[in-house]
Amino acid sequence: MPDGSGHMQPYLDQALEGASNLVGSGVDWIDALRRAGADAFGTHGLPKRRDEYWRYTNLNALADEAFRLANGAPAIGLPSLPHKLVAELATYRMVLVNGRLRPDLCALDGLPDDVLVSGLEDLMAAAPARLEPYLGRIIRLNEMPMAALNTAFLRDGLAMFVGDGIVLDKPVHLISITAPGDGPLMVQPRHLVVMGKGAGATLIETHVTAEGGSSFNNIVAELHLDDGAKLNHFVFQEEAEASVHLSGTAVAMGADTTYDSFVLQSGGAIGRSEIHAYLNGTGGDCRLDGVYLASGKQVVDNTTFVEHAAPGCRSRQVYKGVLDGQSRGVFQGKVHVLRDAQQTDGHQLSRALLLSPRAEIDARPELEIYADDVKCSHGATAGELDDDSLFYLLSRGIPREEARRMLIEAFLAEAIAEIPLEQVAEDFTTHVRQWLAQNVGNADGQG
Amino acid sequence: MALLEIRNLHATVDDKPILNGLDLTIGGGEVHAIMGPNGSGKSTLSYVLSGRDGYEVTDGEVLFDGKNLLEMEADERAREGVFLAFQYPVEIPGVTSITFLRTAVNAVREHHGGSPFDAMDFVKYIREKAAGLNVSDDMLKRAVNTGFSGGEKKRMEILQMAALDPKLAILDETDSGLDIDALKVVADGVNAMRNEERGLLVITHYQRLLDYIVPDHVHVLAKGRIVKSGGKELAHELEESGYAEFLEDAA
Amino acid sequence: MAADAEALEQVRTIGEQYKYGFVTDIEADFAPKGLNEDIVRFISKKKEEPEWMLEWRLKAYRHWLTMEEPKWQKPQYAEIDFQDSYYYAAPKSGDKPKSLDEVDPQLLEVYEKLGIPLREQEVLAGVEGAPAVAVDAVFDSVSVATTYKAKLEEQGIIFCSISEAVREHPELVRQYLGSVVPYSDNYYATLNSAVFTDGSFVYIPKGTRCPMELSTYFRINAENTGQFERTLIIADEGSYVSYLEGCTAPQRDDNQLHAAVVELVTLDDAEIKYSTVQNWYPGDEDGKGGIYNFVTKRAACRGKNSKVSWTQVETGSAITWKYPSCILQGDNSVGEFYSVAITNNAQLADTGTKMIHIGKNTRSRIISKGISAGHADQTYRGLVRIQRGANGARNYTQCDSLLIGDKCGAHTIPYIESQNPSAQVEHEATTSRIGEDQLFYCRQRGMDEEEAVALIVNGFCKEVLQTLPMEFAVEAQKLVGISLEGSVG
Repeated sequence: MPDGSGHMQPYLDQALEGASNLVGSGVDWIDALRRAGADAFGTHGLPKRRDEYWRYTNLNALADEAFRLANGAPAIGLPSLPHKLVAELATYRMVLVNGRLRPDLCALDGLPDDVLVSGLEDLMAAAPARLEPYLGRIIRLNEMPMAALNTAFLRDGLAMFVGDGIVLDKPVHLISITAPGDGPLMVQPRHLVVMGKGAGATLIETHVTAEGGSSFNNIVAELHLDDGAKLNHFVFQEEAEASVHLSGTAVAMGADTTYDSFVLQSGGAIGRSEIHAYLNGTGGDCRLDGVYLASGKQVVDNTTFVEHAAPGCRSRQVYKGVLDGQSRGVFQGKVHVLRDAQQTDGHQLSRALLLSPRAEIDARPELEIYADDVKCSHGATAGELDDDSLFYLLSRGIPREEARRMLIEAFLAEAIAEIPLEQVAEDFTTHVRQWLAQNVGNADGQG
Repeated sequence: MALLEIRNLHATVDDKPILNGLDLTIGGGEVHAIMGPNGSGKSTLSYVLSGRDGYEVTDGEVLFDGKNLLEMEADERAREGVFLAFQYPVEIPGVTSITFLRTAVNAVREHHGGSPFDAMDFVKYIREKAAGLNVSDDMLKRAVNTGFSGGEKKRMEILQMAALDPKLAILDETDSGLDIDALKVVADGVNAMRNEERGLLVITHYQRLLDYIVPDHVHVLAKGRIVKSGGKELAHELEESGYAEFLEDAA
Repeated sequence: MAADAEALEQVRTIGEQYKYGFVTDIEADFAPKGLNEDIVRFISKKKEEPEWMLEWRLKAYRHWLTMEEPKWQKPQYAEIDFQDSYYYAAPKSGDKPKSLDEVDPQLLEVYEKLGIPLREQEVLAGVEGAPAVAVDAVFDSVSVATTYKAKLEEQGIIFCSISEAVREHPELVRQYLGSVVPYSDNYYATLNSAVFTDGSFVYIPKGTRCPMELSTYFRINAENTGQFERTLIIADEGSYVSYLEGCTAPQRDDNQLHAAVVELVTLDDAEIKYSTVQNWYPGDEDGKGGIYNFVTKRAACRGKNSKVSWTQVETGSAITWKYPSCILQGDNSVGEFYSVAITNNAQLADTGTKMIHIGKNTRSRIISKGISAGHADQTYRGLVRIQRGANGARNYTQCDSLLIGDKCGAHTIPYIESQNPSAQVEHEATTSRIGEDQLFYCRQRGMDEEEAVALIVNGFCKEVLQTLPMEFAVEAQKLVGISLEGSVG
């Protein structure tokens, strides 16, 4: 039963509008999936402060503005991307504009046999049976209300299948462009990645917004890793100032799989990266890392749930952020170790630097443990630049602003250094430097 | 009656047979050395004798002072007088060595109808024993084995042996990781404990330790059985010829 | 420091696990069952309270009627029927005795059995070197005796039951009661404000260092009664007091409710050390019976350089739900929280602390050690909040969990909210277990399994146990060993 919250109804209505004309309607399991999403979202409503995992990230903007679902993909060209090296990298390229595939901008030549990269909608129309074992299977709708909303829509996005034993020679670059026009515009993209046994791939996602009004991007990605598969996943989130970017990812990991994720968030009025990783087979290795930069009144949120359901798995999380102006950083990391998950090795670290007196960090690193033969730890620190280090640089003649920038960069570099793909690491570093040049070193940057 | 009688001992670890019919008799006052290649079952023997979980005895018997040792729990065996000096002594954070020792010593005393030490008396008791082993007051105040070097850990094991006064002491590769000076201190400590009643079972891979702790009997353990026994010269022979012949013979 | 012979004995006796589980046959005076405005008036009348006190209670009661029982905490418990309980039960012995000689000997015996020999305490006072501890003994809803009152009065120290304080020192009570935990603060605090029956009141005057430990010992005896005690401790400028709270209850099948409120106030340069060794009946192995322990404890460090230190050893109660907190208002004020929480069998605990940094250069330190065994489930929930103006705030938190066996759980949820860049917040948490190797090592040295577990667990908790006043440190260590009986193997 809907909770009666008026704010949720306009979104639900849009999901149900013209449902029968949608691709996939008439296929029983797809109809059931959309309905389940609508029901779950209806029951929960828009997340509010009293929802445990949304208490620090305020979604009133969604209640206040009437975001409308985008209608088709406008004919804009590929913008110049903020990341030079990645842009120049040879990749298999997929481009979505307002959540809809733009085949003319894609570059998928030379994909090996047994690898399928397609628009989700196209696949729903052509071969829904291929999607059935995977789509909607691992998202826990009652735990992820915004993913439930996305499921109620279920339209277009990326569908990628990598066959057993195939290791892709080039990364797949998914470029997501939001073109709000006059706004307020809503986009609900849905992605699915299925890695076969022993398969390997790198997925790079870039999220940018074209000039225009405000936008709301509600993304869901489901990633399936069969035994022995390995997936590297890098995300640049650089939406415009007036955008709300919510991203929910669920990863199901089989035995001896590796999922290595790095998220750089520095855009949006509200940016949330929520990752649920389920370690279902022994020997799984999950790395969730991220860096965030916020200023003005931005809210940047990294929320992770790592569930150790099988024994002998490892998980590591390192999130580092820098907060300036009146921005707010949120880190919520939960490591859940189930009863049978003996020999779990799970670690988590959140470190935040506050650069201004009005910035705020809210961290909640959570451990829920039911197995006794485990090694788990978490740490969280919040503070400012170390005076001694700063003084050391000053005493060597380095001007104050530059010294501060150097120290902050060093603080973040540790996290970025872990990124296995050089071009991504370098682009992230360049981005950090640019951000620092713009935000740190003004007259009002306090020490 | 011998101090320790092991007859036809068979034991498995994770269902893998490691001891395959081991026989050994140790009389009071005797020092026996067991040498053997890696994987021969040396540590397994020490764990089976001290009663560690995970080691299953599938056949044979062990009599300690005439009593059935295998029927006793690990701590019972300790209180009866069996002591194992571990190859890798474990750390117990938050528990000072002196507290640990006093608890153990008092448990054994009470078992034999004696009265426990109070804190002050115990400090005196242990300091006497510690002096000869170069174990400082500082080490006693630190948490058990926490932050100890290899040599410190081994000296601490010998100190425990001195404090607990066991009837049978099993030294599991006590010399591993020690340099000559450390070895001498440890050996002196052990030799100081030799007397007419106490039995010593020295398990070692290298002959070097036996120059300092001179055994009465030397046995070769290969593939889970004693395959050769002799006097202290046997150790030197082994050093020259290695274990190869025993690995073939003991098939 | 090992479990001594007596404790070992207890440990080996099956079925006699909770040695405080006896019931004393003492005639008691009950209010009619249930809760309504009349009961509130009944309680106030029994205590001969002035009008303003009754008004305050009624305001709280009326507010409580508008509130909803909170459901966010992790332990799920059976519904409490608030009407199915007595809110007042006092031993029938007439006026409060003026000296121990006048106290019903049966009552004195109860405390002796609990190891709190009230009479001997006073007798020993003359013996050199014997530690003196002033005790306020609370039996069900009333304080039955307070030792050393006269001696403390000589220094201007007020230590008495809160009922007495309401009558004898109304200005002080009125000034501070409800100023740290307002009557509307939360569901159980509001209920407490309406029906609190007794508790301790302490006032330490300026510049005075209280010469002895003060302690209150709570004992729930009568069936079906809830215990709602209220404690208020005020440390005036430059004063110091160390206070210990202990509690036990008999073994029963039904759950009993304990909803207490403790308010501490420290003015400039004052310090309060508050220690709790809680050993309520935890329920049996299957979780039947046991105390529901829902407590609001809060300290207002109002003065500059003031300090409050909470130390707790929790081993009892079926369900524990408490977050001793410090509001660090005064500049340079310090809040500390040291806790050992042990849950065994079917106990549930959701506990932690809140440190709110408001003034400048405030510091907080949290060391929490949780030990879970049997089928128990334990949650640490801590909040460190640095408000905007709290320049130079420092927090260090360490939460460690120890799991014994594979059927229990430990849940750590720290909330770190910082609005000030010059504040440094550091949080670490680890989870571990008692290693097979460690156990075997101890056993090979002659200790049996129970002893070995007690030794290792005490080592794990050492940092916290060290902060307890000496007399209670030994008691606490024994308690740790006994609470884990039967948890291994």
